[in-house]
Amino acid sequence: MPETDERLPKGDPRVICFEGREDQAAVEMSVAKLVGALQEQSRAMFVNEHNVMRMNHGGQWVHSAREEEPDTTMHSISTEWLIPFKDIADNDLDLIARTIRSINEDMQRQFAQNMYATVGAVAEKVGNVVDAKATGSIAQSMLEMFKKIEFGVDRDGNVSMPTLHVAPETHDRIVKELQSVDPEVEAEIERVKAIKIQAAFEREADRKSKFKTAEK
Amino acid sequence: MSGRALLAIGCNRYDHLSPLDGAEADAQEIYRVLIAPEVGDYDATRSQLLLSPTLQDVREALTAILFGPGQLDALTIVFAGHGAVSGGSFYMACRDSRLQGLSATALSLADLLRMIAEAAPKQAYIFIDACQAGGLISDLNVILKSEVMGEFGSPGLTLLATAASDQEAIEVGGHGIGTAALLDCINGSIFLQDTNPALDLVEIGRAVSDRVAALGAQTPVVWGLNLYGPSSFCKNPHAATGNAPLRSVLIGWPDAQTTSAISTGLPRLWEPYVTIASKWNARVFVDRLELLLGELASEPLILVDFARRITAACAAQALEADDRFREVEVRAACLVAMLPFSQEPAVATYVGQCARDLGVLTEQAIACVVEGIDAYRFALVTGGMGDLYYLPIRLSKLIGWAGFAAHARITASQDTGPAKTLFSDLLSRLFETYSLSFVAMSDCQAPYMLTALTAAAQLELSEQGERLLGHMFLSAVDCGGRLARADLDPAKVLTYLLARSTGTPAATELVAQPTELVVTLLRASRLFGLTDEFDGSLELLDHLTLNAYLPDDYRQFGADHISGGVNAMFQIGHDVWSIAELEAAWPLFPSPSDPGVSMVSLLASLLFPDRTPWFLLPVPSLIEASPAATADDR
Repeated sequence: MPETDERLPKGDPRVICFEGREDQAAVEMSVAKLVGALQEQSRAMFVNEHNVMRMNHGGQWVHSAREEEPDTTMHSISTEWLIPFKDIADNDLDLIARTIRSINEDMQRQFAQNMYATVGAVAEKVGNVVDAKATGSIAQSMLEMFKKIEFGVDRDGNVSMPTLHVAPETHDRIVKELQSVDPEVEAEIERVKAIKIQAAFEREADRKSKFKTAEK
Repeated sequence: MSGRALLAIGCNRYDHLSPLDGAEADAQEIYRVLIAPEVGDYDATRSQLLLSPTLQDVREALTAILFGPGQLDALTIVFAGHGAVSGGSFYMACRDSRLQGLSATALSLADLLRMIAEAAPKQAYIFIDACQAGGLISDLNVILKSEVMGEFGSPGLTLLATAASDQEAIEVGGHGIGTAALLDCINGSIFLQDTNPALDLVEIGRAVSDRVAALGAQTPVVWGLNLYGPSSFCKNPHAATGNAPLRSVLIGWPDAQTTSAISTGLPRLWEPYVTIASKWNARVFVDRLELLLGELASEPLILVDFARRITAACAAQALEADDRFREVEVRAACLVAMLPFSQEPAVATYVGQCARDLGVLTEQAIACVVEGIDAYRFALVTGGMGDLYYLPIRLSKLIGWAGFAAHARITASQDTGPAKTLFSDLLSRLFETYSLSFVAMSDCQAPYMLTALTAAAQLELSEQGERLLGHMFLSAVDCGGRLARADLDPAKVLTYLLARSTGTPAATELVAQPTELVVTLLRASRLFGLTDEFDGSLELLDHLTLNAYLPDDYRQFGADHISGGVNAMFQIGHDVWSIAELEAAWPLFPSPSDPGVSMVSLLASLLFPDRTPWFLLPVPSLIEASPAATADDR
């Protein structure tokens, strides 16, 4: 976007000469596409492609055949950036990486915030919250977590295990602590997992049985 | 054109006067535009652009241009900079001009006129955008002499000054407002006439005067002398563009305010109007027309009258197109642009009547298609690989529009016999040759299928409706409901087709996720007693997400993005396992309140198929609960 400077006279002081608006617009569009592709990568870290929905109209959705959901309004994420004219005049090619990285990081941060807020609200609603301080250790927290959650079955019939999203320092601590877990707790975790996996298969079979077939 | 010279002078920098910001830009822009062969066609080798020149620079340039070799047919001199009246004469200030001593240091208009009279070009045009430029009139006595202007062959002269003698020229957005208006006339943004191939500075001056005076800042003055011969200031961008019918819309309005609103807004429609036959874009057309209609919204009767005249002009233009449905689409677009104003009874009545008339016109177009297929069974094939994708969509469109014609008759309680015969004729021809092209290909087929299937059911064309729905549903199941997204980039059509042909899932970015066409087909099953059959296939669509966009205000139904309403979503195998469950969970949302509005909403979905007229298919429980709802919701 144009740089503004109060010292400049009123009106756009730039001189239009030999301009090629369509060419410029095509380049800007390619930048937008690159930013879009990077956002797709960020999105894929959080959301399976089967769960990506595109809607042309309206600002909200409703699953009217489900229980009421906590938030069904669309959230927008946006960012703005400034390209100093001097950097362009200096033909500073690093400007591309600097600008796009900044845009991508800002968009990714907002998207993650929205995701965690939504997942958190749903977890709070159904009581799927584990207090790490109250359980005393990471292993106990993991056990508590496995007890509370239900596993799903993916479209290929495989049980999908839960995914942990943690800060880098927490990740290191978890890896370290899980290397010296009490064997009894580890066995209990495995037992609960097995029960949950079995339950997931039973739920999936029950779900599929609801379809009408010619014989039913 | 030959013997045409242009001298453009812009002076920002002054040694002894205050600087200006936009004068050089004005001169540069006018020079750039007029020197182009397709606009001004001035001879570049004989023309000059002077930026902040001294008086001597200007005199040298004038000498070269006026008294150089070769005949001078047309001379245009443009000046943007400081101007002043002194001692009854008008002066144009050059870089070295002094306020005390203008006669010795600035370009005197009187001197310039003497030079022109001596050089005697056939036509001379002077455009001055400067403070007190209106003062140039005091210098006309220099050439208003019988020995100068009275003789055969003496020059024609036109002067346009964009500030009256006691006013200052204003700059806006880097250009003087007079220059901006001049450029708008040259490039066609301001319409002047489409009867002559060239524009004259006098007619441009009148338009500039109207535009600039309306802003209340300046009062331009225009003088023309000895105006014989053809116009030759610049070429007319509207010549022979066929704007005459649209131009006729400009006249005959009851008050100046209405006329002004129309004449100001109408130029936005020039481009989409001129390209109706060659490059039809319903979205651009509706958006621009709606803006224009909005200017008249406070006067519904004038709005309706204007809409009627615009529609007639545009429909006439549409007849130039080879496309048999172009006139239908153009008339439909004119009605859709009226939707935002349909709360006015006069507008609702008007659109209702027009929709009925459009139904008849659509029937004529459909009959033409039937005749065409009778004459040549592959008449609907355009050829090329793209038809594998686009022919199924085109067939859906055809039966969708045929469905509209039937709904128009049903809504107006007219005899449905002719519509039934025609629809049946069309379907039988299509089944005969194109039955394998009745394929669920793109989500954009949703509104067409809903319109066609509900019409078939109401016309009691059960057998044909069942066959049509069966074809579409089977193909949707065959590809796992992964239909192309409604706005699929044509460059990616081949990729999508290859994925479908090999049975591999098409990439998520290519498919409609969620899909509105599959929910259309599922819900239409009850119209033909196919619900149980379709229920038995739902497992093959396990995990597929369905969506139906339900607006809360149909006045917005023609908008590019509709802001209100809700997206009703259902996931097969997670929320619903049968069509009955889908119907039971269908949210209650309003239908158009007026029959005319409902028909125009239907037209909006046919023009812009990323929205579906769900009011055509209310859920059974709603029909049973409210007997009156059937008529209202149809």
